[in-house]
Amino acid sequence: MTDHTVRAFTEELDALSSDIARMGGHAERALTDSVTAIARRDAAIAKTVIDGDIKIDEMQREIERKIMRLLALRQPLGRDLRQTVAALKLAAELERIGDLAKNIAKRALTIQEFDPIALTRSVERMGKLAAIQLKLALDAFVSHEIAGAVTVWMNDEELDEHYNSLFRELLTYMMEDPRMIGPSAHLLFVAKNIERIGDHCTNMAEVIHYLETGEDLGIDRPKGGEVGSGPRASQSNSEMPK
Amino acid sequence: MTDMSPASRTSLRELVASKIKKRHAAELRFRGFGVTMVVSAILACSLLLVSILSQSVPALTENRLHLTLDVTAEKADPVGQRDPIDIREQGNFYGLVQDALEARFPAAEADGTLDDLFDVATSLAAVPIGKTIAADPSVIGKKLDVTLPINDDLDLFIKGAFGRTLEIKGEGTLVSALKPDGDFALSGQGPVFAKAVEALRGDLGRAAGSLEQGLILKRQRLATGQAQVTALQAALNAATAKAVGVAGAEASLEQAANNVAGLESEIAADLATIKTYRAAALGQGGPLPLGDNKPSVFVETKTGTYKITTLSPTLATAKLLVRPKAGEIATDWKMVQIKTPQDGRAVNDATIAYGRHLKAQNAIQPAFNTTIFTNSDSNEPELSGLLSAFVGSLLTLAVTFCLAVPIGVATAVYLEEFAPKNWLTDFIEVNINNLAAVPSIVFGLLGFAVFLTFFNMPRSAPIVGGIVLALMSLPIIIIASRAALKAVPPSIREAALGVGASKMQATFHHVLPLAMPGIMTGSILAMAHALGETAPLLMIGMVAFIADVPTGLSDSATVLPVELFMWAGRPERAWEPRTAFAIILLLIFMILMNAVAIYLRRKFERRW
Amino acid sequence: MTDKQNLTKVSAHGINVFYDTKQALFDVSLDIPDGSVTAFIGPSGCGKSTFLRCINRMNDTIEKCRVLGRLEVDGRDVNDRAIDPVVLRASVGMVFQKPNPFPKTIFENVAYGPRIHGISRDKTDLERIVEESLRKAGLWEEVKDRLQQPGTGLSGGQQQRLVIARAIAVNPEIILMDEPCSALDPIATAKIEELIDELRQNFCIIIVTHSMAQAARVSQRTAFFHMGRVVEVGPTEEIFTNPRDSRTQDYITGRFG
Repeated sequence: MTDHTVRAFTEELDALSSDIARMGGHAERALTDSVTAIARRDAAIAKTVIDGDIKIDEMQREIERKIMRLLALRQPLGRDLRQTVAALKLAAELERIGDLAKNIAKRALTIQEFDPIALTRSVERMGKLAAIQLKLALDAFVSHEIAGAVTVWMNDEELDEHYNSLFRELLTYMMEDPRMIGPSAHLLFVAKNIERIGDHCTNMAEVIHYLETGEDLGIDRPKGGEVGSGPRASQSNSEMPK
Repeated sequence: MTDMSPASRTSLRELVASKIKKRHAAELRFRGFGVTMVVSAILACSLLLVSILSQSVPALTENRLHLTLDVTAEKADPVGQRDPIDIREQGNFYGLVQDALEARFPAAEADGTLDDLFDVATSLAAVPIGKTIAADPSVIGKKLDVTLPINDDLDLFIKGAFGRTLEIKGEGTLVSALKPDGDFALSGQGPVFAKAVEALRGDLGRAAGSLEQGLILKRQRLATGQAQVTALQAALNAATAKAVGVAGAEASLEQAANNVAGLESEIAADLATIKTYRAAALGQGGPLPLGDNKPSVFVETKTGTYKITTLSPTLATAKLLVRPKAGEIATDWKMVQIKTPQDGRAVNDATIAYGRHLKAQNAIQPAFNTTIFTNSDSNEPELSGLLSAFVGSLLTLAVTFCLAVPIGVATAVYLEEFAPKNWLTDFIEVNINNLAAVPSIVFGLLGFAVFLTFFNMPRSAPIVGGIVLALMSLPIIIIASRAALKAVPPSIREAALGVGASKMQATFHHVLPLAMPGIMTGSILAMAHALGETAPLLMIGMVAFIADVPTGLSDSATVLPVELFMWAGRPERAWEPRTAFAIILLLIFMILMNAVAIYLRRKFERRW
Repeated sequence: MTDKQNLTKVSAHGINVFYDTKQALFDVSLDIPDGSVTAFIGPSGCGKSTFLRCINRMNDTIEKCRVLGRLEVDGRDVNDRAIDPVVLRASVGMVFQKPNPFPKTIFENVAYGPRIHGISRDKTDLERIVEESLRKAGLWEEVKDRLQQPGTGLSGGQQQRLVIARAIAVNPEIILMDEPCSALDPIATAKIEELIDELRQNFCIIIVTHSMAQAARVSQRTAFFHMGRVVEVGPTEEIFTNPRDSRTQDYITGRFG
């Protein structure tokens, strides 16, 4: 794509994209660090995540300011408009991901006061999966490749499956030993947070897809079954990008 | 661009500063040239105007003779039927005027100056009196107050055109005595003429001086002539020796010799004159002689005038011009000196003397010159006017306007708005532009060849003149109208077409009204141009002596500029101010037309 | 209104326009619905004005301009010999870039069209038409006390609304607007845009504009012209958020050249 006639416009849009990428980097590390804190019962890491969230919030406000300015001064149209609006949405999603990671880190601090639970490994695996989703989505945004976005969108189902099975296992734990109810509940919230992060990644994937193609990803997203139900066969997307 | 260092910027500034003086100087020079040009143009224009205006001043007023006529039946109506036509054709109205003049100066006949007296007014001047009497025959047998223009030369004299008239008041009582030879000896108490003699002597001294100046030149010419004679003599000798071209050489020699002889006699005469002048100036050689080639000096009493022929401080011999009343004791007398000698003017001393007495009696009074507006052309300047030329101009212009403007505007509208743009219309356009540059005399020739010869239209008629001038102004009107139409913005046409007007409606409802001020301005300027045109009208015989006001388009007529052209060629001096006056009238007419054009443009000019 | 919107008012099939030997439009085919505003956008010299002027045969007034192809208004070919351009122009009004009121009174400006077409029966009828047109153009309140003053004395925006009133006075079916706001300030532009939005109910409006924001604001459909061709036609929001063609994309995002 050629540059704008007004070069500063291109520069500002590029700056916006790299801001999103940087913010995504922060959110990604917050996610992996918080999961590590759970897995290794490491309070120090958990604390860096909690402190780091302020930075992510700040970045979101900064990006929003830039977008406001861009809308007011440049009145972007077409892809520029989509990109600007996408940046706004992505910033919000990333901020939510940052918040959820902070929440996970806080729970990591609480959990380490209890005895370790065997299921933390399962949570760690789930966290890694979510981190991959986030990375894929961010890569798709940076590289303008919608394949990555579609993959994220499709893979969310797996995360849902993980969450469902973890939910069932934690329920069993809690029924077996009432003393485990406290840590198990915390772990359950951690798992729920990770699952929410996955959903945000899906939203990001949808935003990126609209940004690149101008079309919605469709509503028939393959979903993990309701809590307690089995998995459904994923459906192929009828509106595959050109 | 952006990496210009401070140093290079400074040097650039210096570079610019070093050139800036030159640039300012060039600009100043250019402005200077412009201002000089404009100022010199204005100067030239005002010089022209001032010269014309000053020349025309004498024509602004005329001196009129006021007489009370004794309208006798035998002169006014010799037929006796009181028939207006008989009266006008048979009446001797100049005789009435002559009678009235003679009644004022009864001695004129005896003194043989009757003709000089009658010269105060020309016979043609009496024609309007005949008209008055014919219009109202009941005045026959009664008294009739009339005014009539006086002789143009006398008029000019009274206006001071023949140089200043000096008047010196005389002292004491003038005594005149008839001498045996018919002249009069004039004297008073003591040297009453001393002042005049003094002045005349001074004049003579100056005249001798200027003659002496002339002598130097004449002597030089004489020397050259003599040398030439010698040379030619040698040439003749040589020719005789060779026997070739003897006759030619002889002729040349003879001519040169004649030249020399003429010069020698001139010099001798001048020397003699100088001698007498010098002698007279020094008071030697008795009384000063005053011939007709010298300024006239009158002695004027209340009722009489003498012309001095010789003058000494105490005694003057003089000829009688106007006989004073019998028994007049001349206590109130003056000497009058007229700079231009009688030989140098068309009006003689006696007529001037009568004129001065008539003026002193208030019978000649200056008045605003209405004759020039109310009369037509005449051979007598004092009776001539511009009325027929003015009417002729109006008629001719009317024809021109009625033909040129509708045709020109219609052509312009068609060419500009409707005609397809192709080689044919291009060709027509180029030719219209070329026509505007064709010399006007060519249109005159065309008018002569086509309208007079081929169509046998009347000569000198305003209709033909109008057609020729219309042909001449057509290209100008077409070009001006097209420019005006072009100046109407296309948005107006689009607007009209956009609401569904046809091309014709768009043109006539919107474009043409907007272009009208421009078209009218162009047309009026073309008319002004036509008004001032002479050459083509000469070709179709509009240069004619027209004494009657034309009443129709086919009457013989002339126009203002042609009249002016004719007047300028006439010999009498009185035509000069009249021509200038006619020029001013023409200019005023044109300025008026231009003013109307400007007014129209201002009034109807619209902004869009 | 909605049923009107779906009817095709103007339909062009393979329009080619030549100025002498230079081709200005190449095979332009376009359908324009009634009861809506259609905007033509595109870079200068792309042929949008030329196409607009084809609709009321204003190109006839330009010498050496040839129009080939079939252009239908209500199913009738306007280039048909049987169609008189004067009749056509009475039903297809036009508003130009520069406000061009006649240098006459405000009343005369509006009354001119009805008068030459003989629309009004008498003087009161004419006055009624003038008032109605001025009301529709949103100018009545501003000029009702000075109808006899020259139209050229109005402000630019008022002049343009006067011109619109003049156009609607003959009750046309289509109003063509050739960059109607390019000479106006933003307030006057906003008033004209509001007026266009109101007029859409009764007229098929086609507007050529250089301002994409204006096209986005006033039109329901937008056609993008480029190099004498129609590159893309579609609902305005589509064109401005998600154009199909990369040239459209480049143009609306300011990446041209």
